[in-house]
Amino acid sequence: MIKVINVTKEYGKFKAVDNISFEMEKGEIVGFLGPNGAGKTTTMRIITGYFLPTSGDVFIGEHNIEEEPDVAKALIGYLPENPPLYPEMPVNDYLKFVGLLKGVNKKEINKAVNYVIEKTSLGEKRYAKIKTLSKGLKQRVGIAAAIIHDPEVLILDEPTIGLDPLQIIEIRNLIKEIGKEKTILLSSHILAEVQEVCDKVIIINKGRIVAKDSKENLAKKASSGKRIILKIKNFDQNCLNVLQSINGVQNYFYDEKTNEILILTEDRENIENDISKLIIENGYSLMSIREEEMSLEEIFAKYVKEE
Amino acid sequence: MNKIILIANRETNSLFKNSIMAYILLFLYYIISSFLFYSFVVITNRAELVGLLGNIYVVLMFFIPVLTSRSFVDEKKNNTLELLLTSPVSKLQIFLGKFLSYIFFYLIMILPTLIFIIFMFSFGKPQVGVLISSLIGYLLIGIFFISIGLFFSSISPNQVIAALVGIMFLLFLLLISWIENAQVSYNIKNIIKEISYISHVDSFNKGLLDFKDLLYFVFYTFFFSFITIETLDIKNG
Repeated sequence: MIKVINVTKEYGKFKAVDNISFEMEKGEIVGFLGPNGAGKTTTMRIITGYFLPTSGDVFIGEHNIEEEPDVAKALIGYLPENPPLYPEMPVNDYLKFVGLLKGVNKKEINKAVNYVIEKTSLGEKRYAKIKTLSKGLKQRVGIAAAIIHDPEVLILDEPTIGLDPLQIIEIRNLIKEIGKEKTILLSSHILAEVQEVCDKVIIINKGRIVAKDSKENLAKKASSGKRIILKIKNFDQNCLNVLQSINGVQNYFYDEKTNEILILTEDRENIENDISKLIIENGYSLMSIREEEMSLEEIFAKYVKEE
Repeated sequence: MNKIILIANRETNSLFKNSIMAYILLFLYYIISSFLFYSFVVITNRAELVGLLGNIYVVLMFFIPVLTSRSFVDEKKNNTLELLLTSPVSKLQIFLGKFLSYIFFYLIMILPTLIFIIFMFSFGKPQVGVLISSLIGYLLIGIFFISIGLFFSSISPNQVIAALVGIMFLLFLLLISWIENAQVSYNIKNIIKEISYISHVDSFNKGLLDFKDLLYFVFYTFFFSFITIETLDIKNG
């Protein structure tokens, strides 16, 4: 649904985006991560046709954004970093204007406005002027405007910024619901959000893609082995010696607060069995053993640092 | 076409709803133009608009850049230029929407001229040909000023600079016509006279509907519209 092919954006000698390529299928929600200034917003602006790339192509569906801007842009719903709002307009009029601008039929415009107002729970503020709204409400108006023409592709730049926790949950659920049928690219600096909402993650640093994959695969790639967490009832220092003797154990840490031992191991099958067996054989009672995935924070830090 | 009208409609609405500035501008302009009409027609007892139109551009020179200053500056300030440019509308449509809206406002500004004309026909015998030619000049100079005002709004970081630079530019085009009194060669004088709008407006007011003068306004209006459209997606913060 979205195809980005070798896109580069240069400002003089500075490459804000450096030869980026990726594809997104229909029904995918992709999280776009990267440190500040990595080129997330620039990439999104190129995809939406706001910036022209120095080189490279962007396709929305079958349509090149530069060659068929009208067709391609009509397929995109876009929420920029700062939602574009006319402060003097009432919410209702603004949404109507954006809908018609995006190509919603005059006959269907009222229906579309009703629908997005319901979806973003803006009913109470429907006839309020936008300038009187709080930041969170303005953000919701921006989201409503982005989905008013029922676009196939949604590009959301920091969609939950400025919202309170309850609204964040509502908006995340809305994104998930829309994502069942549509294609969504979402940038966020809240990693938990990306973890919860997205199927896939693209990590970008200094204008380049450093990783793109599903969360699970990224975690596997980022860690060379397994992370096993043990809880032992009658723990003592000798226990660590026992662990050390197990084939494949690379490192271990004991956390006094939680009474847990984190073991980093080679990616060998049945290593969990070997560990639990040996612990019990040595007279310890094993309370729990579990394998832990790398958190997105750790994956992110690893990829961004490596560059 | 629908999209152009949509954008024009929104612009006009925001002109009138955003602040009372639009009403103040209209009110002041009505007073000033009525005063000019009174001094040049009623007092001198001559049924012609030359006196009014031959001076009104000095007023327009200030009013129009102030009026148009917010057009693109506001879109940039509100980030709505990003909304427009990522929507299925062309830069030309965005520009034309704005342009139409300000031409509409200008028509409201010069509406009292109709009353002046009715007045002249009731109390005198104005020359219809001269009258029509003056009115065409009146329309063209306003539209020409609007295209310049829009251009400076599209390249300015804020409204005050847009208005001031627009006024200074129009003042410059006015003042260079004073070259007539300078001691320079005839050719240079002629070229510079061509650049200034004064001589062109004057011939409209004399009732000379000359193709050359028409071309001057049409060409420069197109020229400023063109560079505005071309610079619309250049990001200047």
